Amino acid sequence: MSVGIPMFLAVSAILFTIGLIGVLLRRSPLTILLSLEIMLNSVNLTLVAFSRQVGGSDGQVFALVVMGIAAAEVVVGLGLVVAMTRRSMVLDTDELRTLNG
Amino acid sequence: MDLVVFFVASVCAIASAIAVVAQKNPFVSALALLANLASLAALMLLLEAQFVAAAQIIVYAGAVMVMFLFVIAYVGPRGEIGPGVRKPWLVALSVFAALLIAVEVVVVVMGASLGTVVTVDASYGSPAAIGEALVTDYLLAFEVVSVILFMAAVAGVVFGAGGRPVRLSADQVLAKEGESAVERRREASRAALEAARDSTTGESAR
Amino acid sequence: MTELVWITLALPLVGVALLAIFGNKLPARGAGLLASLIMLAAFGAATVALILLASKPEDQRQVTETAWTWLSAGDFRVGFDIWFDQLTALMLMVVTGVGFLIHVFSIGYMKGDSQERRFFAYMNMFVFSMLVLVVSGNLVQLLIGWGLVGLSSYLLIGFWHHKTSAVKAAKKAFIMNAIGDVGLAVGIFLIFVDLGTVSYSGVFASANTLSETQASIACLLLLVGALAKSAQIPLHTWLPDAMEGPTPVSALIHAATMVTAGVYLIARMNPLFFYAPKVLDLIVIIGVVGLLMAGAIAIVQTDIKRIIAFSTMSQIAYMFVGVGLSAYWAGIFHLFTHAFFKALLFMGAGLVIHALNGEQDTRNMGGLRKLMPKTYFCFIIGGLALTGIFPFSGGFSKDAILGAGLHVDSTIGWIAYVGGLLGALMTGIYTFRLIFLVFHRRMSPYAEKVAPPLIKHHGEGPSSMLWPVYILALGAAFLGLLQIPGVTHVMSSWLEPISPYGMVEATAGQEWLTTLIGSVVGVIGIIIAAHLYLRENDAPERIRLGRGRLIAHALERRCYWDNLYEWMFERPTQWAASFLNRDVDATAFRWLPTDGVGTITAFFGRSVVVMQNGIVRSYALVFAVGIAGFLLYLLVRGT
Repeated sequence: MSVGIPMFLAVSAILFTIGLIGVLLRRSPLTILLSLEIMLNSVNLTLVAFSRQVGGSDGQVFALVVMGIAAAEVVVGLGLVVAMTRRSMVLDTDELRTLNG
Repeated sequence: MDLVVFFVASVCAIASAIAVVAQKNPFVSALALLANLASLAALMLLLEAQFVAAAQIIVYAGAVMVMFLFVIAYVGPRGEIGPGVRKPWLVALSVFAALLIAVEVVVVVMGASLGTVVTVDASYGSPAAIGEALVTDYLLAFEVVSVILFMAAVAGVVFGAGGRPVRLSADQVLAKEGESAVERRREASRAALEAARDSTTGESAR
Repeated sequence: MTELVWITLALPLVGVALLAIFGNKLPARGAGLLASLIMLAAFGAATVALILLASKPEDQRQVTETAWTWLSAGDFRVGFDIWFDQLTALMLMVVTGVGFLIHVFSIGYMKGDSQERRFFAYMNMFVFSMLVLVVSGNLVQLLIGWGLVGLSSYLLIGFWHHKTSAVKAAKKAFIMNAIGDVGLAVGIFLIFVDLGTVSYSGVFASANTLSETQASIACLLLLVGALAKSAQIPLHTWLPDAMEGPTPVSALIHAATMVTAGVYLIARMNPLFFYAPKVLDLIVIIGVVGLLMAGAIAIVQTDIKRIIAFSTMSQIAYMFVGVGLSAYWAGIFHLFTHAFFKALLFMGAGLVIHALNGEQDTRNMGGLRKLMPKTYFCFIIGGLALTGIFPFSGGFSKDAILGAGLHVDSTIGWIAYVGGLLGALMTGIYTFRLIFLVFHRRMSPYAEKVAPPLIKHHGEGPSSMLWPVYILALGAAFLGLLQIPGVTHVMSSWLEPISPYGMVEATAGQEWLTTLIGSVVGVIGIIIAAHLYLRENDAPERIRLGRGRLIAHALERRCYWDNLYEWMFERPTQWAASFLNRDVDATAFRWLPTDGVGTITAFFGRSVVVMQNGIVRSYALVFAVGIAGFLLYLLVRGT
């Protein structure tokens, strides 16, 4: 195989970072959820890459489980977005600050 | 050949990821994410994980992204919020921390000696192999995921369906949606009033 | 057969669950009906189990079964076990049978209470706890049942939680029982340390490896638990206060469950107690002192339920004397008959209280004989059984205990014998004093006003209250015939095998002699009571204020036990608290600025509050920075 596993891991790290920056900087809950998907997928890539490295199917199973969990997370997140919309709230996470001290 | 595919796919992935994060319009972001997922699937194919790659396309592109697009369409233009620039220190620190993590990971990964890659036969990554692992060694995880998905479905229904839409006063709408929205509503109510008046005059004339 | 025991155990739990979950959907009356039916089913299962056990050959009448092992660490294994033998079978009969009757009685008694469902859920829970305790096959499970019984009694005594006195009484019972629980728990730890096992079979098999000191300490600690649960000196003060609960609760605590647990524990652990003869002697002494003291206090009480409560304490003390003399079957036999006549007396008292619209003071009663003839008749039977007059049930069982004292023929035996007979005299006096005060004499103005219209309207009580009383009266009258000295010996031969070292058993002659003396003494007691209380006269008051005033004062204050505890525990605690508050706080911390501690805390709080600005992104940022920092640390450390 001509491409080394570390290359995949590096791509994964870069994608993870981009997603993280999105989560940290964006204020729209929709974009944050999309960025989270990027992070989760980059980790999936890592899992698959390591799985290839050791030759077992464990990592791929993990990746599938991650997909399932990600789907659940999206459902809840989008549910929240819909609920916010129905209550005519502003879709801006910076405005949701009842948690302040 | 592999190398070419790898570079094309990874450049695509990174570029589309940046697009996801940078786009103001969530609709465009979502489409960019689709491209990202497709490139990732290509990368996974390079890693001979055919089943996961297929699942990636089917589950994400087929199901999750459709849901995303539905919600984005439901929310409409209110979902459009640009990058947060209101707190420079927050932005600076965020970028710094994220880049630090990236650098650290890349340093570790590039510096690590992973050893030779195992050669695998044709059954590697096949649905049969994955399925067997899923219902034998990882049965518990499998079941737990199903329970979590179920709970998420319930939660989604509760969040989405619960509560009545709130009717706002003009001031609140103004505060939240800006001048144009109030104008729009005023316009609509005026039109409705006109229509009502027309119908009553019509009746009385008859 | 074991399946039946499991069913017996599970049924009350099912009842609790049903009442707790669906209670609100049931009509108020349905709750009592459901709880009673469940008890009836449990009683049926227990009866069949008993018959099956009895139909086995005698050397196979001890069955153990483990449902599952729920605790295992090294060699230490605790399962959810049942241990079904003659003693367990008998206890199951008492708990479920008498418990069932009490449940039925409660249907009538609690009618109209807004919290009936809660009441019956607690009642079923109480029975379940007691069943866990008696069917247990190991000490840890016994401790669980022990604790659950304490909890259930707390809930039931404090059932009327709007009454301050009830809440206080519940707390008192709980705390006293907690002391006992600690004793029992430490005893179990000790047994485990010494023997490495907590299952009955293991403990019994290896008890002979203990030195006498080890066995004595372990038994003493078990005894602490038994004393608290059975309300014996010095942990008895909760029992009279426990009368704050509804009357059926008192009946359940006193007759079927709870207070008998201590006697059961000692009888069950008899192979261990065999190696601690000094502790057995101590049990006898405690029993004799307790029965005399409680009997004497009962003579001066005025609350109808308190009198019966002290009589319970006294009768349990007899059981302690019995098991202390190693006459285990006699002790358990007395437990068995006592369950019947004590439940009978409590329910009779319940009928009286019911007819008087909640009044419990005997001074507001009197002359109820004509109005409540059925209750009166049953009360007389219960009273005779309690006093131990031949041929009522209490006589046979009590005389079996005292006969054992005669048979032992040592100092301890004679103490038990003489003390027990003296106690019988007191029993006669207080029992019939109660009967005379309630049913004879002239009717008090209160009773005259309240009772006739109520009784004319309702009769003596609904049939759900009367029938259990009749059944118990039958039991109280005739159950003694199971064990007529020299004629029948159902009890002694049935319970014989529970003690591997044999039991003390009086000869028929000794028992008949005791029965003769006991009955005569009891009758003397009744005559004294009649002389003093049958008609209004000032003799009791004269004694109270005259020569006997010191004793009367002591008895009315319940021999000062409560005052003793107040001085030993309450006052020093209060004093220490006020000392800490007034002197230590005010002087030792004066050098700090006002609210020094508060100011410092607030300063640190304000300095970190900026981090909690409500912007979720910044929280995520903290997260990210943390990860980055941690990774950096790992990199720099370089492993």
